[in-house]
Amino acid sequence: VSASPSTGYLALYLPMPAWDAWRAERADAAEADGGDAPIVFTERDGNAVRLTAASPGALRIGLGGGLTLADARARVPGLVAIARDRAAEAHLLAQVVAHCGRYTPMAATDTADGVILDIRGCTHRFGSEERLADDLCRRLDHHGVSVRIGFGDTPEAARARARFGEPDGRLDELPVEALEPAAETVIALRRAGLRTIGDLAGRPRAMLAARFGDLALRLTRLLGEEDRRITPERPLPPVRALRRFAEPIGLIEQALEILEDLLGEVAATLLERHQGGRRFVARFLRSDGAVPGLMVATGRPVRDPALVMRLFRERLEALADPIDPGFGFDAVRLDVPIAEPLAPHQQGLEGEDGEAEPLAELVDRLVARLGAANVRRLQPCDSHIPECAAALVDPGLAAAWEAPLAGEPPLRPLTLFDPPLAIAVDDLCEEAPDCFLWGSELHEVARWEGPERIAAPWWQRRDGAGLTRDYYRVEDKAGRRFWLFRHGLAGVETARSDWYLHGLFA
Amino acid sequence: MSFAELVAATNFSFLHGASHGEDMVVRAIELGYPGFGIADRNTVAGVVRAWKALKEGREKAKAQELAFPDFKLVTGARLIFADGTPDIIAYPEDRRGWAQLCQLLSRGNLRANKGDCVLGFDDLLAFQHGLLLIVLPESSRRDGEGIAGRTTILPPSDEAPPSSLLAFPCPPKDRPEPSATGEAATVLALPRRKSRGVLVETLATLRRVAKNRVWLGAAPRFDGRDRLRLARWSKMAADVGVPLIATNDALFARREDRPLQDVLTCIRLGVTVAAAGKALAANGERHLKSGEEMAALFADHPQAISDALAPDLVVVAARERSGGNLIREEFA
Repeated sequence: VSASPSTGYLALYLPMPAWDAWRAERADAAEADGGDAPIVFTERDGNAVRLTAASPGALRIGLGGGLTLADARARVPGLVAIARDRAAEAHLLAQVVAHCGRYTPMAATDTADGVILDIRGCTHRFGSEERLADDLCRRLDHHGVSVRIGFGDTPEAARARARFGEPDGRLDELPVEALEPAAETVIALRRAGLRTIGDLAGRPRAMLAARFGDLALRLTRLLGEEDRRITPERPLPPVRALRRFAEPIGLIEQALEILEDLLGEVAATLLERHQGGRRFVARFLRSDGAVPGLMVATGRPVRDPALVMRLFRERLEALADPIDPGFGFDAVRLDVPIAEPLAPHQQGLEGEDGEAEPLAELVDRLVARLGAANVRRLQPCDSHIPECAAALVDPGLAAAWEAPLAGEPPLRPLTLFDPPLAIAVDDLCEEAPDCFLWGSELHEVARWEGPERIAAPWWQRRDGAGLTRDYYRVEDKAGRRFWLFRHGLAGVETARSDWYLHGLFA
Repeated sequence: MSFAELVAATNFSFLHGASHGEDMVVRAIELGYPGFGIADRNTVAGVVRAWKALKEGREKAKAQELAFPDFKLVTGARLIFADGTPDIIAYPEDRRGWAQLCQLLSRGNLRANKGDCVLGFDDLLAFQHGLLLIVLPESSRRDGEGIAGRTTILPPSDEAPPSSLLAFPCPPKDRPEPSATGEAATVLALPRRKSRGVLVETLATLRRVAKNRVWLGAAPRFDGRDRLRLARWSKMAADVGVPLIATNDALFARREDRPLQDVLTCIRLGVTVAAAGKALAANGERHLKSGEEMAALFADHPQAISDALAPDLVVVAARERSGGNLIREEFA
């Protein structure tokens, strides 16, 4: 292949990003079936589920984009359909862009399924553009990413060659689709007998612009008559700060003071980037080579040094064996591995700090002291059944509860027994019992309210039935409040219904 | 224990009621109700099937020479208001009442897109003559209901006839222009009544204009606060001076119909049963209940049970006054 004289751009086109991204996540599964099983990727389009991508095996038997899943299943009954994960594809593309950093500093994503590299002056390590591209393709292939390439003087020309022609093919032989106009424009051009870029190139541009709008501009760019540059995506360097000491310092308190300084430096960097840290890692480099570390995580992005420092101190106090300075620390290093957007804070006129978030701060301190896995929050669930009405979730993700009814005692207790405790009551009571026996203790009911009737979810049961529960809020003579229920409507669902104690009101 | 259910919906309350009118009537007779009232959401369409079932039952009993129980079917409509007024069940007491009810519903239907009805409390006040009114404590209007149609043309005032009634060869310049900003918008901006105290206000107003024809219908909800709520309503009814009557606000005939009701709710909301969560009713208690069950539920307010027979009796008395069954006279 002869090198084109002035190639400046290399375009990568990922023809099957959905398949590649899916395979990347499940390396072994894809190996097992050799990529031959028909797998399709679906997306919801209004009320229809349509195929928007397919595996090579599925493409071979003619299952292409646009087909509804029902039609595809009619053709291939054993079809494996997977919901398309656009986020995974974007992640894969970002990885490819990052990978391209080994060839050129100027790499940018190009729509959702391509990359453009500016390779001018970057080929000396490989000898020629082709060898560079060969190396790139070999490496991507090794990672299971199928890719098509194209060279060009402009980003558009490279893109057109990658998607619609050969890597080095002649531009004027490309079909008019290479300009990627709207579908009706393609039809109009074909009706006019204009099939290739070459046909179009000879036409007066003003006429094309008048008839087809921006088509003329696209053509100009494709033919390299207008030079458009790409904006490279360069990852920001990680946020970190380091302080070395002339002499090792032997006191952990001093090291923590240094850490606070470093937090101030990091906060300035984060403020510039409009970010806040979600995780902070401090490392104390000891002169004998050991590197004890501390890590704190927060539920929301923060950059206030005092706040993070408090979390570090909590973490330090919670350690089973405190950090031993040994022969002293040579250096202290602080990294922020996870940062998220956090807008700069507008201070009030009198310098007040705005609204504090006491709950989030409490959660962060508890997490720092007890560990992230040990702090949970209850969040409401959409169910009438009391034991399903709340779920333990990560405190950062919990949804808010409704405010309780004003002027009403709570309808449901804070403490629920799982499973509910059986209690003995007078057999013949129609409504709430006069007294009940919990364990060996007899409680006489002074007041009660109810019933709150909750029927069983019939759709979860094979027989479509289930026993209804009648919940009563009762107060005994000592003023203790209980949440009792009768299981089964007596005479309707069961001959004799049992009573349970489900919870205690605080 | 004698009890008559006066607030029952059939499947003509589309996707709200689960049972056919026939099933409702059969079940009501089974339970030994002396009377039974059918009222669908902003329509009287459900009464025909119910009345037919009753007629066939009577004829069958006659053919087999069995005694048919003394059973009175009362028919009317459940008015759902767009302005925040609680639901009101309207039972015509005589032929004039039917005319008023049908005019009222037509007025609401003409304002809305097909299948919907836009009513305000003022409309009821204009057409309340000859109607027995059972005020329910809350509005059951859902989001998206009672919204005026965009191309609806409304008369600017009560006096002007609706545009559809204009003389046919009317000069084009006289015809009101349909505009999204004109009449339709005035209905969209149907003043919302304040939710606080709207029930007392409604009861008091109706008691003034329709003395002795207003009741407060109380239905248990089985959410753990019924006793408190019933006590409040009872006091409110006594304060305003209208009788409280017991009802179960029935949506289906039998306890076993709960799955059907839940499925209909899911169809209405466009969700699956498993995903519906709290959108479904917590229990299946809105079926027709026996007199004993209702008496137990309203043990603190026995008067409400016996008063439930009152509107029924008024209707029957009115019919006897006019000399026979009105429905039969007009439609059979």
